[in-house]
Amino acid sequence: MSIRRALRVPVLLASFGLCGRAVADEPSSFALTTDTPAYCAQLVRQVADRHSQSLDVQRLLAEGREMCEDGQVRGGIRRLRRALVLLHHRAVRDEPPP
Amino acid sequence: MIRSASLRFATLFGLVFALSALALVAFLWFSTANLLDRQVEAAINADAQGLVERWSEGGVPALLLTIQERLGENVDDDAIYEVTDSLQRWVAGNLNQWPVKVETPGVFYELQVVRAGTRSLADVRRYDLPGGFHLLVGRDVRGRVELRRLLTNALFSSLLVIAALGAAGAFVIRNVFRRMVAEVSATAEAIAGGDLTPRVRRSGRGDEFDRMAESINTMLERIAKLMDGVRQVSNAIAHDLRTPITRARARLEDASLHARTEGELRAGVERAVSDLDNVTAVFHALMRIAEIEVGARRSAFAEIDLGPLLADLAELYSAVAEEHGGLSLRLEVPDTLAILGDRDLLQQAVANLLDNAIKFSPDRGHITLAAARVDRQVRLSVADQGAGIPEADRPRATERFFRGEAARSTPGSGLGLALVQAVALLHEGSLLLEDAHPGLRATLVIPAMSPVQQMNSDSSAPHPEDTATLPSDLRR
Repeated sequence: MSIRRALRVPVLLASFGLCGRAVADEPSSFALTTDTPAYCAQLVRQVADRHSQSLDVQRLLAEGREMCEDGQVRGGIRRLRRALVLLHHRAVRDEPPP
Repeated sequence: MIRSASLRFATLFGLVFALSALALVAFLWFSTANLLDRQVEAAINADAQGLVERWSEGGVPALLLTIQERLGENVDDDAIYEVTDSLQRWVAGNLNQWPVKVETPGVFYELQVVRAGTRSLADVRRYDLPGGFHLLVGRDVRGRVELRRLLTNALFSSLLVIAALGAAGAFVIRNVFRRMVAEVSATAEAIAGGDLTPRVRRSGRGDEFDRMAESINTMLERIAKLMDGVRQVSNAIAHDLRTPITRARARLEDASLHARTEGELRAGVERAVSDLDNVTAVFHALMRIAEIEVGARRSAFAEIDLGPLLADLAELYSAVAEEHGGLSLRLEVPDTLAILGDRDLLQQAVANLLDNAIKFSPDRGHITLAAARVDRQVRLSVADQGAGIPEADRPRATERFFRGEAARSTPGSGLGLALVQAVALLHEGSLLLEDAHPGLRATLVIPAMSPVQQMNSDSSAPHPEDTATLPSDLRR
C-alpha cells in the first residue's frame, strides 16, 4: 500500500474537520445507476436497435431481456453487455480497412 | 534473565525465526496490496486518457457516446463514470451524484458505492475538462478488497504455521544444544573429579561440535602430558637431589665428628658447599628450561649471524677439547648464516652440545661443528665419535634428568639436552639425535630468515638477559 493511500484516511478525516459543513451533506455512499431495471431496458433497446442476425447476439438479447423482466437485473445486464461486446467486435471486424 | 543457556538459544532462535517470518509476510502483504492498487490506478488513468482524447476529437457528444458505449460493454460491471457541467449538473455517467469530496484533480479518492443493494469500495479520480466540465472516472475495487481479505486470512493462517514451526525448531535446537553441552559437562566433571582419562565423544560428522570436541580433547591430552611431566620431574628431582644432599650431609657430619684440625674441618665444609652448589645449579637449570618453555624470551628475538657466533664458540672450545684427551674440533660453517632468534640461548644450546661431545669423545677423537642452510631451514650440528645414544634411548634423551646407561658413569644431571630441546622449540625448530657412525650427531633445525624478514629486521636490537651457561658436568 502506498504512503499516499496510508495517509488518505487521516487526511480525509482532517478535511472533514476543516470542511465540516460541506461534508455533512455528503452521503456516506453513492448509488450506481447501471444496475437498475431502467438501465437494463436501455441496454435491451441498444442491442435490439442493432438488428443483428447473429444467433449468439439474439440469444443473449433474449436471455437478458427475460432475466431483467424476472427481476434478475444484474444477470440480465451482464448478458446484454456481452451481446454489445459481440456486436462491437463484429463491427470492428467488418469495418473496411483504411 | 533466563538462567538456562539452551533455553536462551532456543528463545533467540524462535524470535529470529518469528521476526524473519513476520517481515516476509508483511513484505508479501504490502507488495501484493500495492500491486493491486497500482493496477486499478493504471486502468483508471488509461480509461481517462481515452475519454479525454475522444473529448478533444468530438467534444461533449463524442465523450457522452463513448461513456455510454463503455458502460454498455462493461461486462465486469466495475466501471464508474460521471460528467458534470460547470454548474455541477449531471450530464452523463452511472453515479447518482457528484461526490463533493472529489474536488482536486489528479488525486485518487476512495468512495463507498452501492451496486445492486450491495456496498463496496471504489477508487475514483477527477479530471477537469475545458468549458467547465468535470469528468470522474473510477473502478469498483470490491474484487481487490475481497482478495486483500483472503490474502490477510491466508497470511494470518501461515503465521500460525510459522509460529508452530518456530517453536518446533527452537525445541530441537534446545535439545541439540543441551545434548552437546551435557557431553562436555560430563567430561569436565569427571576430570574435575581427578580422572584425566575421559574424552568428549565425537559424532563423526566433522561439524563445529566435532571440532570443538577435538580441541577440548587435544587440550586434555596436553594437560595429561604436562601432568605426567610434572610427576616425572618431581620424582627425578627427589631422586637426583637426594644423593648430593645426602653426600653434603655426610661430609658435614664427618667433618664435625672426625676433623682434628681447623684445616680438616674447613676442607670438609668446602666439599659440602661444592655438593650443594651442584644442587643449586640443577635448580637454576630447571628454572632456565621452564623459562624457555614459557616462551617469554621470544620477544627478545633479533637477527643473528650464526657464522661469527659459531666461530667464536669453536675457538673457545677447541682449547678445551685439546686439553680433554687431545680432541680436535673442526668447524664447517659459512661466513654468514642469518636466523631470527635469541643469541644467548643459541649460544648456550651449542655450548651444551659441544660440552657433551667433549665429555663423551674418546681420546684423540674428532668433533665437528657444522651449520648450513637447507631450503628454508638452518641445520646446526655437533658430531662426536663417542659411544652415542642407543636408538631406544633417543626419544627419551631430551627428557629432564634422563641419563642413558653409558652416561651414568660420567658426571651430569641429564638436563643439558632438555635445555637444547627447549631452545629448539622456542625457535619453532627441533632437535634431531642421529647415529654418526660412530658417535652421536645432534642437529638443531631452525627456520631460516626469509628475505622479507631480513629486510625488516633490526640487527641493532639489544640482547638482554644473562649469558650464563650450565656447568659442564650438568649436561647430557
